[in-house]
Amino acid sequence: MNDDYLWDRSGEPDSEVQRLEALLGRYRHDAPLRRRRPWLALAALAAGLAIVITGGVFGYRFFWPAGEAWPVAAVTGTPTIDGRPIHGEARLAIDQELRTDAQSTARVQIARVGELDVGPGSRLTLVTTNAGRHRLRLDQGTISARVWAPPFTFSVRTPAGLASDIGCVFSVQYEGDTGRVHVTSGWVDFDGESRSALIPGGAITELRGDDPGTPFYDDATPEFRAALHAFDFQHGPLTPIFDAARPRDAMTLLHLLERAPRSDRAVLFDALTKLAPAPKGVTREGILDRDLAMLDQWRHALGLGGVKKWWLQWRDAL
Amino acid sequence: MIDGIEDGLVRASRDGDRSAFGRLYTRYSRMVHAIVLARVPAGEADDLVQDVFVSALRQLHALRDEHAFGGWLAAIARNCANGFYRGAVEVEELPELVTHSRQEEEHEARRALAAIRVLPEAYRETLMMRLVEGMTGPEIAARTGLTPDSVRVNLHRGMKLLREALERGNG
Repeated sequence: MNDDYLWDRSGEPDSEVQRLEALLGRYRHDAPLRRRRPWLALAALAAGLAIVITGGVFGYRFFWPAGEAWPVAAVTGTPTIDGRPIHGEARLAIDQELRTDAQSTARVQIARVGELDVGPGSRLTLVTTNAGRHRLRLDQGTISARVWAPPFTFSVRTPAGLASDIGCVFSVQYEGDTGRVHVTSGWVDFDGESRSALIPGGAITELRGDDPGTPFYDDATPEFRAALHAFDFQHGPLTPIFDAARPRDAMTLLHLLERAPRSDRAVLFDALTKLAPAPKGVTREGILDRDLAMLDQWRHALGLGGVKKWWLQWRDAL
Repeated sequence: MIDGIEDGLVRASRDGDRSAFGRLYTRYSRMVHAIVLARVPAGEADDLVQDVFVSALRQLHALRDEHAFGGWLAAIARNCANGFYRGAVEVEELPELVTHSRQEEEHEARRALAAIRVLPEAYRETLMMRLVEGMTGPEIAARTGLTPDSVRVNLHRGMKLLREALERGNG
């Protein structure tokens, strides 16, 4: 068989190679479906570089010996670590599980970058901790995190995917196979199996199965929430979402537009322009082709472009 | 194989030029992503790409031969990806077959990705770069430092094995 197409796309196209290219392109590093925010990746890289070159200023706060256990304190009742009751202060080491029952709560220090309140009926495990990365697994229950650190320093894995802090205050709740992420300040990046969501402060994302829903503001109307829930998890139509949307809900429609198949993009573009006119230079054709620069431009126009400035969320550190 | 421009970028990065390192990131991130994706769940790959570049920046002073940058970076990517499992992070299993038509294509993609991941290392990395990242054979050779002939052989043999694996799955 002539492999010219496989080699450099010259020669007669190989239908099986073309099919695989189309299928697997969704996993591409700059692919819009899985990672639509190249600027976010660069922000993370820049933040990583910042750690390297500005160690003197933030060094103490961000330094943490690899594998060092985190301080834990019982707030109410008697939480346990690997089945042992916590009396006063204790330490949570890697692979250990912190549990609270229906009457107990706990507070965990996330290295030196923040703290975590653990609600009743929760199970969580410390997976990784070092100067650049701290990761927990939440199997059940509720946690509220307050973090001030470069993007992706702190992450929480849930059965629905990975919630990564981008300098913020947020809570994660998970019961059975449903849950939600509620961001109070800053941003959270949530990566599920096939969808991702960048959740701004004041917004919620529902979790079902192994993917997040579309973010919506916590003051959205019940009609809007219900229509979005039906679309995200019950294959419902888009029209009820448009009918119930306020101008502030443009954030949600932009998320929908970013992840929509081409067949839905035209109606989403039209609905979004009614809530928030397209900025100069953003064209219908470009959006239908999922032009990343135009989507970013629109995001900025909606005031959703500030995640690079995580350090400005300094109040989260207090 | 590395061109003169990249030689200069590597030297400038080693001397502390952050914009030069950013340009290396732009040129090599797809290769790194493909190597990482060949080993870890898709949801973790972007995160690990960041780790690879931060790690590379920290170790760049130890790289004596600028021509070897691509192979050196690939080795760091493999170490980071292998370390992902040593870090006691759970492995995501492929989900059950989904029934909704909008998700059938997603299921097909996951199946193809899983089939590539069980191929021998040389084939799986090269196929990831070609089929996932959209790199051509000459680009793969230029980034990895492999000879064009080696890349061509890896693509041909890897694709043959992948076709067989997918056909067995359909049978």
